[in-house]
Amino acid sequence: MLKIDLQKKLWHFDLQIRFDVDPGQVMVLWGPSGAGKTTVLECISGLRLPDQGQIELDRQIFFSSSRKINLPARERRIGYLFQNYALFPHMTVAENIEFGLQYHRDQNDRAENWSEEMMQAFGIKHLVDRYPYQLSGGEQQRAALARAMAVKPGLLLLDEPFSSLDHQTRLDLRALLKDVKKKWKIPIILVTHDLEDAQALGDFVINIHNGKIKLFHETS
Amino acid sequence: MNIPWELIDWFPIWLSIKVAFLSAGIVAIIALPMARVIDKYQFRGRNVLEAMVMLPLVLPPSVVGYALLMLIGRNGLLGDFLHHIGLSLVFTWWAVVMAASVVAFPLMYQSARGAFASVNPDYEKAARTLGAGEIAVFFRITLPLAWPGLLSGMVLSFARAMGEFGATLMVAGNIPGRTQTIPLAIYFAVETGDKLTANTLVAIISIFCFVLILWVNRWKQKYKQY
Repeated sequence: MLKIDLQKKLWHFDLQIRFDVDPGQVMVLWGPSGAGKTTVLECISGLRLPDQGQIELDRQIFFSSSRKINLPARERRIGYLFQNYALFPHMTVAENIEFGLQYHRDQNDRAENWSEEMMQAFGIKHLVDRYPYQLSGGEQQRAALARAMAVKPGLLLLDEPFSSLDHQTRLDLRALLKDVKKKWKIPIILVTHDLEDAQALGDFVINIHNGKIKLFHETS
Repeated sequence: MNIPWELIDWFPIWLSIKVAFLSAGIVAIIALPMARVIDKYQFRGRNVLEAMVMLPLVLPPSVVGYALLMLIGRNGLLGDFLHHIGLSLVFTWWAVVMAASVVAFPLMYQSARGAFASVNPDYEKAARTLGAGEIAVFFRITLPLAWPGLLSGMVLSFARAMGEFGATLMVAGNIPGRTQTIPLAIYFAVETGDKLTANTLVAIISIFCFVLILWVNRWKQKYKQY
């Protein structure tokens, strides 16, 4: 279970967010550009520091201003999908997916087998030696997802993952994400502008405006 | 074509190459971390520091030479102390290295700064979320992606170090067999009407620099396919 309570002073407003996400739940973060959605993801993943608050996953405290705890990003074991995928351009798909494995040795003794399994599961096994620039948008997204999930994260964060993709690819990737949700049963936070994405994938939606939660509703 | 090779003084070539390699190396070791740190952190006085670093690029070489003399000259800040312990940097090949390094530094720094700034921070962020520590992020992500720009900077600073004239003349003098680099030798040869030396040296250094730039550009094209 993911528990978030954070405050951060930003350029034009103060970010004040508080919510919980259960394992296997998809929470959609909705709001206009500049509302602070990406900052929320960055704070949860440890890439940025909130001013105050507490971030906890499955009883493990990632951040606590009162107890002066701040776990660095590399120790939080979080899957993060960036808006433009951020696949390492100088590495092949296989090398991208294997990148995080050496930092999580304890669980992945057979690194090569595991990365093959991941590529198979995400439908990119045939792209193993290609470079990111040789892939289509949908293929890059699959590779980025496989890379994030390869380290067996306890939480998945997606920043507008489907924004520049055509309709059919969006449908395919939505199905893939639903699979991930069912198979891995971890909390998932999805930042999106797309109404269909929100309705198809989200269990509940949080509407952020100027750093504060304006609306919260369940989709069913 | 009958060229009397034995009449040519080869010392300037050997000195210039030695100095250029050494200067480029020293400059890279200092400029690279400096550019990386400055790229990542905002701090007060950053712009002033950068302007100072870039000065040798725009100041006349004689001003650079003058400043160096104020540092290592007989009565200079450092020179005075050195003189007391029996050392002298002026009119030695070390002064040549110093002059070459100072003028090459802004080129390396600027290239490195641009190279690091061109690396999309999302790649570094992704690497962090996947478990990499800062050192791993630098060597596995930042450096390989910044490499073409860094290499350009090294080649540029090497070439600049090799071609240094004005400041070198002031702090090291034009001493044949001791501090006479290729540019100084060419000047001296022209002054004394020694066409053989002048033509030979001009040809050598021109071909060398041309091949160098051609090679680097080709390499950059092949390396960066994305």
